[in-house]
Amino acid sequence: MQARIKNINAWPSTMPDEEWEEVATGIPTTEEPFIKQYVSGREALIAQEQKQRSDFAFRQSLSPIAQKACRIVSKIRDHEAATIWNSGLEDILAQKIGANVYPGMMFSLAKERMESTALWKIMKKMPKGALLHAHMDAMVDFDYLFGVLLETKGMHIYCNSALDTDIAREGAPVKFRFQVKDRVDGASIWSPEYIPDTPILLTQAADAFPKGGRQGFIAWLKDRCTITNTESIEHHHGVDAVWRKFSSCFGILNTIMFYEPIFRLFMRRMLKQLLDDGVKWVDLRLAFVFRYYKEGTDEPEDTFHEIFRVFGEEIENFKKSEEGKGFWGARMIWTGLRLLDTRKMVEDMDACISVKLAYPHLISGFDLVGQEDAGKPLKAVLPELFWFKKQCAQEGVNIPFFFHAGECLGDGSDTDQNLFDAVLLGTRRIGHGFSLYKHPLLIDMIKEKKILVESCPISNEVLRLCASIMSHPLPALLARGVSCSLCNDDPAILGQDTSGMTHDFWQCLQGWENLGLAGLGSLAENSVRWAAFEDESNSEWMQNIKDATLGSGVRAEKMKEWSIEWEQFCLWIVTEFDDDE
Amino acid sequence: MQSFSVILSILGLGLLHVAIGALDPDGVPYPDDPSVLNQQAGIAILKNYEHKKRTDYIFRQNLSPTAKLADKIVAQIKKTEDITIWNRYANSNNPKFPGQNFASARSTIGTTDLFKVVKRLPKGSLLHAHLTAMLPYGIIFQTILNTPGMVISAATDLASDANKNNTSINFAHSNTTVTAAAASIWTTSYIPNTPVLVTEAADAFPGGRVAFLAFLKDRVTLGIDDAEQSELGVDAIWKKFQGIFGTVGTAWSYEPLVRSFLQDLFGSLADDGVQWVEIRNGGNNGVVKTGDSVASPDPDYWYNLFQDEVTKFKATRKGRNFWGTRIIWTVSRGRERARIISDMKNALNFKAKYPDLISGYDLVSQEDLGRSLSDLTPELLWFQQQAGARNLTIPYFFHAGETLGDGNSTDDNIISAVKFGTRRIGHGFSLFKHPTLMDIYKEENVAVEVCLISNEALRLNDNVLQHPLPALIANGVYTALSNDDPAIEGQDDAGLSYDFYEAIQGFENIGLAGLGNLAQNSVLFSNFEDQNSYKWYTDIEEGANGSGIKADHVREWNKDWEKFCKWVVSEFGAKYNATA
Repeated sequence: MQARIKNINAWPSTMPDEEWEEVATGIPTTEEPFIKQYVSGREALIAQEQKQRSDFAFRQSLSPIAQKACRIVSKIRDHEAATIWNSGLEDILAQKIGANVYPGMMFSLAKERMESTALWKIMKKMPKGALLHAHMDAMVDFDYLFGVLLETKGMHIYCNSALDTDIAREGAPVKFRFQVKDRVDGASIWSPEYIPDTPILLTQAADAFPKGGRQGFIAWLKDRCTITNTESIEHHHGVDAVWRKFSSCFGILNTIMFYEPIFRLFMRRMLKQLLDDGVKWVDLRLAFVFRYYKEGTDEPEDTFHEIFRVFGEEIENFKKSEEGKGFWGARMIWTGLRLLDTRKMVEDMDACISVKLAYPHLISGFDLVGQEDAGKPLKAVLPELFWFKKQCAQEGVNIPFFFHAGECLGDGSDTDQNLFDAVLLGTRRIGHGFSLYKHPLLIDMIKEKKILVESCPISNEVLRLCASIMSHPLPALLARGVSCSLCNDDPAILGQDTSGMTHDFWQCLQGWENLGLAGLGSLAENSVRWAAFEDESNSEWMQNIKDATLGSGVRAEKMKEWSIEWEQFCLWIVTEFDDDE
Repeated sequence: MQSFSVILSILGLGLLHVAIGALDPDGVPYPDDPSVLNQQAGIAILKNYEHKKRTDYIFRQNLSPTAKLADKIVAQIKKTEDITIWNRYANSNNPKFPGQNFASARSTIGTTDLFKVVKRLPKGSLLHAHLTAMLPYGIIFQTILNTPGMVISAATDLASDANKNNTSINFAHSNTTVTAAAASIWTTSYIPNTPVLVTEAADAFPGGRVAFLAFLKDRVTLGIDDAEQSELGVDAIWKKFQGIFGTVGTAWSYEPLVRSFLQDLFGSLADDGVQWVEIRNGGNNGVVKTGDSVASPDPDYWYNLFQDEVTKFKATRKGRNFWGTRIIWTVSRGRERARIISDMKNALNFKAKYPDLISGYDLVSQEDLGRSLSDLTPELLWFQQQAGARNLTIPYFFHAGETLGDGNSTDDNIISAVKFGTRRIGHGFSLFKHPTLMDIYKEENVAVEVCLISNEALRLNDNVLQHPLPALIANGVYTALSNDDPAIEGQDDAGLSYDFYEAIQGFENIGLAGLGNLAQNSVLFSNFEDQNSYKWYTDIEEGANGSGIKADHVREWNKDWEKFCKWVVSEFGAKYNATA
């Protein structure tokens, strides 16, 4: 790549011409054998390093069309970096937020602009395979969800204190629930007279919102349920601070989406958005710390069987529908909260096993969630985890681990060391693995054990593990040969604002020269290869992943299907964007 | 490579193979159940196995009992202060947290026990620092204000805030009587580039001299505001950063000032436990002799002056244990071929004249925007050829990989640098993404000069926790800590203590022992004298067991380290309740 020198004439040569002429004859040309030797040595070194990459084999087997598509995309990337992502920087006064535009800038500042690029169009169309790391309650865009919330008959709002001041509205634990009978006569929730915990009909409360009525209400609720633009750039306040906000979002959402009519619409919206985005399969995660209500009832279900029945039904309905044609399906990784005490954790595990017995095709695994830094490290819950394993064996069910691990900064802290436990506990994939790049031995083990890292670049940026896509460590893992896939984690809360993965794919493509379209293709292929399509024993899981397309099961079949889509996609790029090659 | 499942099975640590014994009332295994203990043992073994790969493994293995105890005490200090000072686990919106960005943490850091420890630690050598950005500007501007005949000028008037913030400001010495300027530099009637007595300008500044000094310092340092606007990106901060060097260069141009600054600089390094410094500095050192107004035409003047001051300092009480200093010749990488070549010729000529003073060669300014090493291949090969022909030893100490990119031209510089036989690289921020290269750096004993606070100030990372240093150490790459441009980037102290503090505060895996190893590395990788590559390499391999200057200094450092560890134990052992 050519160096980007702005003004070389700023330092005129001071060497007299005759002297320069004499010296110039002594400077070797690039044709000299020893320079050629130097250059070829350098190239060889780069090639040697490329061989270690996890996408090396994928790159080697690219079809001629795919190779051409990769070249085209890389040209578009360079072009857009120089045009769309260039504010010139000549005027120092332009150095204010938003005015200064450059490749690799913070996600929340770049989002709107990226959605208008050609790269976006391409990424949107890309077959993305499977989404392997996504928390279900943070999947559907809030414009839609809150619209549904307001339209659903019988929804009420309540809180343990009046929401009469800005401070109360900023932090009080506001909740929603369905009531059979509309409650319209209590004092307004926005007034000091409000009697705590009294449900108020939502439509009425929303219209009475003190700052702009219903529209103001939606804007406020969105602020409460997302990492706002301001928060997303205030990186200097650190990880714990943003996690406090992040965790609080779930508390509100959990009272909105688990009323059956809303839940069904939620499912449909999510599955459609995923498929529209080229995602054919999703391994969802959900923490079961909410109450589920059937349509028309304000008494919650005692167990989680009913929600799984509906979950399964909606998936099947979607697959059968016209708009859901070609969708492969979805399963659920049951997630417990890592901060629960032993008794509650065991209770939760027990609930998981009981649902697994009833809906074996819907539960694919087990994980623990909540901020790793603030919760218990895996090493502190070993007794519980061993109990779970034993209990599963006794009940004859197979619920493998898909642990979050290393979603942290630091080096050698307890959270960082979760990586060791996850590997030794036999995790099949690792959620985030952000700190893994600091562990050469673990990297080798993870490669050998064929553990995939579910990488969530935008999530890591917004939750302040890295300043921008440019400082995300995924390239280090890829260079080392670790298999990874891209995931969006909590797109509704973190700012992608859609269930799809295009933003994450786009960010990686623009961020790293070494990745390119081929690298992205490999990441998408990995997602299919490591999806938990069906129950498999450890040895079947290993074997099927090793066999990849050469196997005989569902996995191989889906991988073949993906590679056909990939070829079609590459062909589309070539037809659509090839102007002069 | 040995299979890890084999290792694990040898150790009896196959997964989940240990039967679960008795259960507690909830039916959960007790924490001391064999199945649980087995898992924990497995992790301990793995960790130990991983630690063997670390650069500091041998250093840790050889710690004396006192040093081990000191290491434990310091870990306890950090743990305590994480909670008492840095609010770990506090569920509040108090913005403090362990590892928070340096700019806003700095004032608190100075009050900690951990900083007291770090301050006293023998730091060995400072290997990466740029001359005019080393000594804090508070001292510099105060000295200028106290020096008769110093004048200030600006490219525009300095009336508006915009001009105050952006206009280039210069200092000079005037040997004629400067007549009172027709108009103050702070008003719109100021005629651009008119010299005004600094004292006069200072008195006329709104708020007087104190405010004037604060204004100047603010102009030439990166502050909390800059740190908190990391979303503006790397190029934006470099624009501001690079602009600073123009102004401060003029502050470093008048002989009495330069002499006084050098004494201050060496003094504060010695105060901080730094015994050797390799200063990067451009070759064009016009210096205005005492009483003059224009730069001396004698190109040797600056070098003689510099040598003079080093000798002078070593004769002082403070300078007793100071090993000395050398200069790495630098040139801006933005320049075209003829300009680079003519500068290289200068470098070679001065190297011939001052062989003990000139240590190596490097290219500076923002890597992302300047010419890549690959693009400079003809020039760099020519330089090596010329040096060889003239029998001069002037090895490369390249800046390389001071970038966020992965596969861009700056990132590629770390490949070129090692191919050109660089002896160390400056920054190597992107090196952690290159497994093959890390192996080569290890094999060829190429060290990385890591500048934690500088990388943060220039927006490669938001805070120390995001810095990739731990990955380099875990992979066995040699690293040493440097401070790069401490006067600009917020350390506001020429010493290394703040950078050392950041390393130990950020990473549990480093600790006091790891910090000691980083300091020892700095001695091991100092270019004390001209050596051919073979001698350089073997001296590093032999360390304290070798013969020659390097081995002497390593042994001296080792002694200081033991003394220091003893001090830690006696000073903090009781307070932090740690015993062997």
